[in-house]
Amino acid sequence: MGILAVAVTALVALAMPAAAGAHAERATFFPDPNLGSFPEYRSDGPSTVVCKHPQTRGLIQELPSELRRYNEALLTRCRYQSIQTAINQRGKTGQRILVMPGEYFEHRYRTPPPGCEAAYQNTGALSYEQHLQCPNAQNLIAILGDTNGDRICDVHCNLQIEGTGDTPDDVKITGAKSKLNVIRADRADGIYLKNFQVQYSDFNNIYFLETNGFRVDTVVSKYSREYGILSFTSDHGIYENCEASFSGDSGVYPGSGPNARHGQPDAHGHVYGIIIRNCESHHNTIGMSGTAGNGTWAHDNRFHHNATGVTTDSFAGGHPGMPQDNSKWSHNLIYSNNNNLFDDERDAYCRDTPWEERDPEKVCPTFQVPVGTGHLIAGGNANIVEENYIWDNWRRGTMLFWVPAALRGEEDSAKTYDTSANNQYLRNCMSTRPIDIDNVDFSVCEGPPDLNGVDFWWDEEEGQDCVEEQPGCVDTDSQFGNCWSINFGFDGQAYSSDPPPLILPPCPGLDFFRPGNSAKQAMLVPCATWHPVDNPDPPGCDWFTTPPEPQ
Amino acid sequence: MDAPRAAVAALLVLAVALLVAAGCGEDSGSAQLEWLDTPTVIVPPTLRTDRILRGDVRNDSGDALRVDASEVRVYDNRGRRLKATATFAAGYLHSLYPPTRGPATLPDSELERLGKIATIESGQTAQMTVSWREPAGRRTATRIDYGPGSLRIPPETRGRERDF
Repeated sequence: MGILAVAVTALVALAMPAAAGAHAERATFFPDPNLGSFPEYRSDGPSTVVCKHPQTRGLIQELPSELRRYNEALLTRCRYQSIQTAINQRGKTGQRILVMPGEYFEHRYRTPPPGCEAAYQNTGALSYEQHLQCPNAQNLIAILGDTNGDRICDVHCNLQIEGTGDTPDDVKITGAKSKLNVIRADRADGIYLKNFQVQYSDFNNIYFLETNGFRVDTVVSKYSREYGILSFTSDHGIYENCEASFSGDSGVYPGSGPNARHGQPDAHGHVYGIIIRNCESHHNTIGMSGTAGNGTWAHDNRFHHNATGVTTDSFAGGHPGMPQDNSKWSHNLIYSNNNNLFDDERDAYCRDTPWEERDPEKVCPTFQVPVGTGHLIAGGNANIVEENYIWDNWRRGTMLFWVPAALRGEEDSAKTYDTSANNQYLRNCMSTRPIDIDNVDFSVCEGPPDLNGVDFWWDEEEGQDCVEEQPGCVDTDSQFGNCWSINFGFDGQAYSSDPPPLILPPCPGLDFFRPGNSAKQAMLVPCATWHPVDNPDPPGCDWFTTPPEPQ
Repeated sequence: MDAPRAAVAALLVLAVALLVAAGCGEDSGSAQLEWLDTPTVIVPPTLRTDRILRGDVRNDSGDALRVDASEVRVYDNRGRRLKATATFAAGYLHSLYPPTRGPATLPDSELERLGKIATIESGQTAQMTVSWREPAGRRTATRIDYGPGSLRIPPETRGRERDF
């Protein structure tokens, strides 16, 4: 059965609306992986200039001379003070929207036009057609590319929205905590966002949905109530050179990743449909997460000072592409993720302070995570964690555990153990701080010790491979089991692990079903009952206590 | 029945009633759920005052039973309520929605997925996880009240608690 059809079938079976991140969203569908491509930056071609009078004129005087002259020339062409208006009136396919230094609030789109009053009050899932009718009901800036309902972009395609300042913070796009999304790119194939800062969304600062081809480059995301940069049921997407911080959930979230390839190259030779590279994600609840985060390759990033550095999982319902599989993390720095956002003081602050009045740097966590964890795979298959430096995560460097299929709403009991299988941990440097964090040689494991609580933690479950004929089967691999090979601890010594290193299977692993250690699995369960107001400290769950620094 | 015999009978009835009330008989309450097997109790290594009990319960009531995890209570051997939490989920998971931002009511299917409720048909079983905090760190919990009935925490689990 084609994977797209599987996703569609799964969606049709759902009684609940789909979810992006973890909020209500219309049922969505994966783009055709054989169409679309990764967008390329364009420095010429038709363009429209947006500026902020009188702010821009003053700000460009502070730019380096050559850039100042470029911006002074642009200023003579400026006809728009609103990015949305420029898109609406001049945003033909292939247009470049050049946004000059200034802070953009898009005031005229904050109040409903006639006929959209109800939609502006609705924070639930709107249909695509409702978004077309009232584009700014939930979105400060909406780029809606499909006008004929075939889910393929036919207007506002290949848009490039680019700040013309020296650094991203010269151009700020501000949600003012009121709109769910600051920028929504929905079926907006080929979109390229570059060189600005986006902040203060009520849910997602940047949101790519059902978009085949997107790129977000040199963008700073801050102070989102939930997610910084989020993509969902999209393909051919690149997050690069980004910084994402102070999000209540995740800095970057490639959720419901492309579900067609399963580790095999597509017609264009792309094994991974979503790429995250050269990004820094810090001081969020999670640096990077993705329920059903399939087909994603994160490399050369830094995930640090979050509560948990990285997660991918299969434990929420309503996400197309379950169970999660075939993503890769390589050459990342995953460190110091001990930022406890769950202590009594933060619980009280978040409980007593309305979102609108909160200090933007006091993050209130949306979901619960194990504080002090570097990288976590919860119910994933055939992932690769390779040649990363992972240190100073006081609970665990990495975690891998099974998620019963029923927890994602799967009713076929034959699939109960269809995660976690065939994940590989290779050549990672554990509990070692690189000598020069800005110039890391990933081919060696060198540097002073900086210990994780335990380098590798596994619940000892090996999921069942399924037979290809089984609907929804994605794990037919018969070569690999979960396995750990050529990983190092400090100074070439053995890494630490639970179970002990001698019990961790070396690659290719032992690819036969094992239900795992029930006591380890049981200790995860009470954490599911966490609630920030009613149950902030559930008995039996130690996730919310900062582990002591390992010595 | 003569007066002395009636008095003895009344005393016996009273004694049995007192024993049952004190929890010394079979499961107290209306005994609608029964442990399928002796549940497991775990002491988390980093939370020595806490206990996690996992076990399968069978509905022996003859009718379908809907149990709300938020109404599960744990009591100690002196009848005092302990801080506790319960779920019917088989593993860790989280909601589709952030806990403070979701819809006011969720359909039962979603509540069941989340382990917040269990609807157990007569003769069927469900896995239940109950965790609680022992203020002094030593095991005192004896009873789990689930609303329509209660379950005794088998004393034999005390000797089999797994230090993990």
